[in-house]
Amino acid sequence: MKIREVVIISGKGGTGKTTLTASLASVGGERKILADADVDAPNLALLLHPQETGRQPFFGMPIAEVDHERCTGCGICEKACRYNAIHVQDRKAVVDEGFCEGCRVCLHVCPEQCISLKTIERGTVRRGDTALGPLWHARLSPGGENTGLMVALLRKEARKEAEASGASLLITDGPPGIGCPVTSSVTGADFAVIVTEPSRSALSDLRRAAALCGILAVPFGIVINRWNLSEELTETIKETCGNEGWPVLGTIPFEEKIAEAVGAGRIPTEEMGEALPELWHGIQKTGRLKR
Amino acid sequence: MKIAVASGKGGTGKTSISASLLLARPNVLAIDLDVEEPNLNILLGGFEGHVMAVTMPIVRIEGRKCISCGKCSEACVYGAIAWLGGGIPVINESLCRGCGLCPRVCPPEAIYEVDHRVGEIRSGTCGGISFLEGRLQVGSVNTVRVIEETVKKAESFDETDWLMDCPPGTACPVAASLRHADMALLVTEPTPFGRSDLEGMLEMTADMRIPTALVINKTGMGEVLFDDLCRRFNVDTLASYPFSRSVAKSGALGESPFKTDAEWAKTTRYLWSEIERRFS
Repeated sequence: MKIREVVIISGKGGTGKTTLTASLASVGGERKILADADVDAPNLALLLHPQETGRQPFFGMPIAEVDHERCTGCGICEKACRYNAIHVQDRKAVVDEGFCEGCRVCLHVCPEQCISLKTIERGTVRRGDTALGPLWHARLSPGGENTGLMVALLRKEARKEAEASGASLLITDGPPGIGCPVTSSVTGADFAVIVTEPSRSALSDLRRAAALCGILAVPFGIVINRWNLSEELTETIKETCGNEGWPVLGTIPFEEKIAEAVGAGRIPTEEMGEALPELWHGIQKTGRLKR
Repeated sequence: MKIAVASGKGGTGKTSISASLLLARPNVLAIDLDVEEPNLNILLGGFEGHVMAVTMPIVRIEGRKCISCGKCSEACVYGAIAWLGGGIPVINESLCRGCGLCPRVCPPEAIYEVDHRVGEIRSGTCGGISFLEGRLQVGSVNTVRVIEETVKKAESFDETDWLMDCPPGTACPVAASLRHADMALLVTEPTPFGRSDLEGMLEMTADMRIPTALVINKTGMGEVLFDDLCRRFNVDTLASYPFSRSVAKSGALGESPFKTDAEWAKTTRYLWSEIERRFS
């Protein structure tokens, strides 16, 4: 059976991706796998409370390492590095591990041949069981490179489990922004849900997220969260969606009881009321997640 | 002094607090490094200035010089050069990271570089404040490149006091922004998500040895406390902004609460005095 994958993104951070991901997962009846692709600020586990069943270290691309015994501090590597990741300090080349992309230019240009590659642990990938299904989540080491690679690995593991276990749905909580980890989260998904809110910033970011989905050829729809914080801007967003031909999947109100539930580490399924099952139905229909 | 405003979690109010700090001290250079989603301009209002392209080199192969040796394909760690054992290799431009290795390994020097647009820098003023913004092109993944170029541009400005509105998260774009900072101001909110992501940020600024302080935004919205994190990382909370629907609403409409809310403006001035007292 083919697995359908829906990914929740937003452009702007803090619009409610994680809360919505957990809430949607709590209403759909089908067997599902969950993944938290916001690997440098992962929060889905704070609502799903997984019982950990496994963990594995994550290694990014091997990066450069300088043998300081042999380094003469000539600076040729520093000039060649396009990522500003190697600097001569006290007559020795020092690699800034947070910026090295492992391209090997420095290895190639070093006249002393004193640069080699080493693999470093960049974070941890975890699997846990939750009441809603297995959760794949990860934590990138702070300041780390290779977010896109980590997201790709996480999604691969989640899909593998879905295939092996016969789950029909994979719900992925995506990162904010439109960069490397977002591209890695959205590429190849069946449908993207873009969560926005009525603010000028969120609308600007919605446009960029929608354009990215267009470039990646992933169909998408819009959810307007906290719509009642500005009815005027909610109308503006709806108009924009109408003009652009972007489907509005549903709206969710701002309510203190929703924030309170999340504050207590609970999924606000009941607090969201009828809006939630209707929204899930809308996503299934527009995203053709059901056959 | 170069101040970086960061948060870990998105939506905690980095940009609102950055804009307020800038409106209170208009002689500080405003730099929006949240290049994937630059929104500082919306809260400062009215950008005037010019736009420059940010480019990065990507490679092309001059077919008539190519000897079909496959060395470029073998050298590329990003898998951006496909070679099937004969003929001219094919470059996948979206995977090329512009590292410059393949032109160096090509025996007949058949590989050359062309500039590829990955974003832009807006340079000028915003609401009368000196302003710089990096903006990643949609579809590009070269966030760090745009950040680095924006900071390089900032160095040509007269202002030596900077306020950098940083990206969310704790990955390389944030590290790229923080490495130019004299201090980090971390904006958090009293929710479990805010706290969890703040912890990642505190680990990062401790690793990078950047003097750090907290601002708690939206107090009253949750009951999460930060005292233990403050002790563990030896940082102080400099100011707290209460959650208010009217502040949220004016921010949503693109109006900085510094202009609309007297309490908010007062807290911002107090925050500046604390920053200066402790960090300058």
